[in-house]
This record gives sequence, structure tokens and C-alpha cells, in this order.
Amino acid sequence: MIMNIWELSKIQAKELTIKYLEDFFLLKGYKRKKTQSSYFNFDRKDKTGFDSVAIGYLESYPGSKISYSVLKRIDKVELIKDKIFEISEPEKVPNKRSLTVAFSQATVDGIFTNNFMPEMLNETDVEVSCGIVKDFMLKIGFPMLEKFNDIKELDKEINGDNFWTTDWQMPFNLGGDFDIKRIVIAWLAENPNFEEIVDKTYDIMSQNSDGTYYHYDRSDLSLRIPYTVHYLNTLR
Amino acid sequence: MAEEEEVRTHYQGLDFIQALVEVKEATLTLCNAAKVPEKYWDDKDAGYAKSPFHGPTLSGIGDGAIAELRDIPEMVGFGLEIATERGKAGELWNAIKSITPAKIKKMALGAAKEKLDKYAAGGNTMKHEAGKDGVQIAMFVSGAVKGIAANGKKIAELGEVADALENVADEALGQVSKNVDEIAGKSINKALKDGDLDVLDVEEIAEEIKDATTKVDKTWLENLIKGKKYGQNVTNKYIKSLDDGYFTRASKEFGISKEELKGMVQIEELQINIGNGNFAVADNVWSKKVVVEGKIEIHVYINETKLSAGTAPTKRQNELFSAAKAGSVNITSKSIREDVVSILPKDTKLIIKSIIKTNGNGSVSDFYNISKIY
Repeated sequence: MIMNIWELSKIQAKELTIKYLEDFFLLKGYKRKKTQSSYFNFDRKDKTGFDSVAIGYLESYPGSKISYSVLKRIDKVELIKDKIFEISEPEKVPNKRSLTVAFSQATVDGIFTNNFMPEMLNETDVEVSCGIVKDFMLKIGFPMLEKFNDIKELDKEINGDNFWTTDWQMPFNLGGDFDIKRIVIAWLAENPNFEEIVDKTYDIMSQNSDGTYYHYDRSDLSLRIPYTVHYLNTLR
Repeated sequence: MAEEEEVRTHYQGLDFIQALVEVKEATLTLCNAAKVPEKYWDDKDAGYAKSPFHGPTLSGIGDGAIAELRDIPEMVGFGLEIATERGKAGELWNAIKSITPAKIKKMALGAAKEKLDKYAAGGNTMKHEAGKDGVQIAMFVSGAVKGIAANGKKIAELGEVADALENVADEALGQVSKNVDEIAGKSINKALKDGDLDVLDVEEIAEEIKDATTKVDKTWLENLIKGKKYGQNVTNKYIKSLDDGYFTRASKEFGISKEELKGMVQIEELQINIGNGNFAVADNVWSKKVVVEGKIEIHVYINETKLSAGTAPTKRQNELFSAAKAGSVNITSKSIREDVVSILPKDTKLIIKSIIKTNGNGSVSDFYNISKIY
């Protein structure tokens, strides 16, 4: 006699999520990466990198909640970043799944938590949550991923008129190393204001969060931003 | 001496967890160094007498017992999952699934010496042999567990621990049994065979088992489940809802303003690499990005929820606390959880500024007390 103390465990939630999302993503060209744990991805590779939707679960006794992120890797950006880090930060090991863009309904809505989906206690709840994910993907997720296939569009978002000082608590992030990647993206996008963007980046990184000023030595190639600029110049 | 008697005699006084730890040592050595530790096969080795699994004894259980191994006891899979690293356990489990009784019969621990030559050859031959030996040892352990299970009623303590382990695994699956004897861990077996057991859940709970200094019994298990319920209560009722009273007290312990804490990125169940090869799961994490002398830093504040004031942190939590206090620069978010990277990029270096504990009064209630750990 087995008594189920959970209405919906993570594993049960995973099975049902697959049931309600797999066909949806398959039609869009995404394949599920099989995993032993409850976390998994729907991935779609293309010649520029890959798009992915990562799904996980939070315990919410007696049920579970979906936690997800929409991801994009642009190989050109990540490979240049890896080359830069070979010299400036050799302790950072290149990762084939390092990401260039990451967002979710929460970040787009300005809610910065992974606990933003409704609780799921039964199959109907899972269907509802999956419906929310589908709705988000159709209205925002897929269009955003598609838009950023053009690196100029990504550059426009972060380096354009509404110049970002950070990607922290913004609608999407660059998967870490924002200061470096924004410069790489500007360079790849052939942004005519490249030098200005570099200058602004130095200014931002010279302002300590406690309000004090830090003298950033722009000629010190052991520092990541000067080396990034130097490296990109060698590619011209 | 009868075979069962021999097994029982050998295991008397041995702690079950200790046996599993031995398995970990064996399997990791196999995978990392591709070498069977001598103490497991060389009866001249000083460690042989202390080894919890003696090949000749267990392989000599007889054809009947070997045939039963086709239905590999749930404890083998569970034992491997909790006793080995996740990746290695998965590899071994896949190998175990392909094993047939006929193959098992051909395995003799005495042949291990011959294999050493093949290891020396390196390459795929070495890997293949190492894999086979890993399976072999797993099978010996399965025999050991089988022996324990068969003698469970006679060896009260081991039987009780085995029952307790099964209950914990069931809890990890979201199930608990009213009648331990009846289910006998079948759900674990099925989950492992189907590949749908949440390995991470088991790992976390396994850590708690290994950390348990007190007797692993049903009361301990009940408290484990209550602790999970209480943690969820705190998260849903106070943290997610930005409860003013809770945030006033938490921010005071953290030494920051309530408004600042409320404005931070909030992450639940964050897996954190401690920097020593292990990871801990932080119940609630608040984080902010700062710029310090031209570098970006992520500062984090952590809450751990405990059922009562007397509930001790797990070993991994203590390791995390120590690393934080020591100002370790090797603490990072764990990359496997890509579902959280939209709010915290993977492999981000974390600087832990403060840790608090929210504890209950031993029951699943609205009571909470907050104290500073670091």
C-alpha cells in the first residue's frame, strides 16, 4: 500500500510537462535533451549556435512549480570571448553551452526570481503552466530569439539609444561577462559608435558601486577590457 | 560455515553507510585511476580483512542467489546513486542494466589481477575493463545487500537502516510507504530502471543520510519530511510574498536595509559549488551585482531553513559556511541548472556576504525565528 504524500513530485511534473510541451517544441524544431534528473532542455541548433528552453522545478509542497529560462548561444560571440579569456582569464574554461542571451517571463516582466510560476498539484495544473510557457514563447520567446539572430538587433538593444549600464535585472542578460560581451557584440555588429561604446564601458566600470571612483588603466593589457579591445583590433 | 551465516558474520558490526562509502571509494578509484583497490581482491593486503565486501564469500553465495541478481535489488541502484558521484553512478547503472546472470557467473574477483595488465595497456581496453570491474564490484555489493536483506530480521540494526534508506528514497520520489515490508523499495527499483529517479534529489538526501550523526530511524525520517514542509511554508508564506515582518528581521540579521533586500534577485533552491568539488543547495538566496575596482561581483545573502533551532546543518552546508567565512573566491553557481540562468548566469562567482537561519519550533507551523550564522 503506497501512500502518495505529494500531490505532484518533480518527477511526475517532468513527465507531464513533456506530455504537454514536447510536441509544441518539436513543431518549432526543438528536440528534448534527455536527462536523468528533473531538469531538461528543448534545444534547437542552427549554424549560428543554438536556442534552448531550460526547464526545471521547484518544490512547493505538496506540489511543484516550473522554473524556466529561454536561452540563446551565438557561437561567434562566445568563441571570441573564449579567445579573450585564454589570455586575460585563463582560469575560465571554455564551455560549449556558455550563453549569449537568457530571459524568461519573469525578467521580461521585471520580476527577478525563479519562483514565478503557479503551483501545480495535478495534471490540469501542469497543463495550465505549460500553456503559460507556450503563450510566452509564441508572443515573446520565439520572436525575441529570432530577432537576436541578427546581431545588429541585439547590439541595438544593449548599445543603442537606451544604453544599458548593466544587464543585471534587465529584460534579458548576456549570460555573464556583460562588459566584455557588449563590446564584442558591438564589434561584430560593426556598430559605428564602437569607440564610444568602449569609452562608456570604461566609465561604467570605473564607478564603484559604493560611489567611489576607480582609475581603470586602459593601457594595462592584463585587464579584461583593454585586452578585449586589443584582441578585437588584431582581428580587423 | 553456511554461506548465509558467513555473510552475516562478516557484516556483523558493520555500519551500512560505511559499506556504501567503501563502494564510493572503490568505484571512484576504478573510474579515476582505473585500478581495482587491492584490498578488495588481494587477501594478503592489510585492508582486505576490513573490506566490507569479500569477493569469494559473496560470489560463492550460489547459483540460486546469482540468478536472483537478475532482479537487481533496489538497494544496488540506490546504494550506487548515493555512494558514488552522479555521473559515475549513471554510467555504472547503465552497465549494470546490461548484465545477465551468465555474465555475472563468469566474473571472478580473482581475475582482477589479470586485468591489471589490460589497464596498463590503456585506451579503450583499459576503460572497458575498468567498466566491467565497476560492474563486478557493484554486483558484489548487490550480493552483500541481498545478504543483508535476507537476514534483515536477524540483523536488526542493518535491517532497520535498510528500511530507513528505502523510506528516504521513496520520499525523494514523492512517495512514502505505510508498509515498508510490502513495497520493499520497488518504487526505487522502478524509478532507477526507468531512469526517472531525480538523481539530484537523492544526492541531497543521501548527503543528509551520510551526515546523520544520530541513528537513522523513522523519527529521523519524519523530521526530514517535516523539515521540507516547513521550508516550503517559510518560502511561500514569508519570502515569496515579501512579508514585511520577515524581511525586517532578516535584513537586520544580514546587516542591510529591508528595502535593499526586497529589491534583490531572489532565487530558490540554488545549487552552489563550494569550491572543494562538492555542492550545497541553498534554500533561499538574494543576490545583487556590484562593481568593485573595475570588476563585477555578485554578492549573495543566504537563508537556510531548519525545522527547529536544534536541527544541525548538513555536512555540505557546514562546508559552505566555512568557505564563506574564509572568503573563498571559488564559490560559484552550479551550471547544471540552466533554468535559473535568466536571473543568475551559470558559473557565476558568488561572494557570500551573510548567512542566516530561519528555524521553526519542531512542527510545521507559522512560527519562525531568525538568527545569523555568518
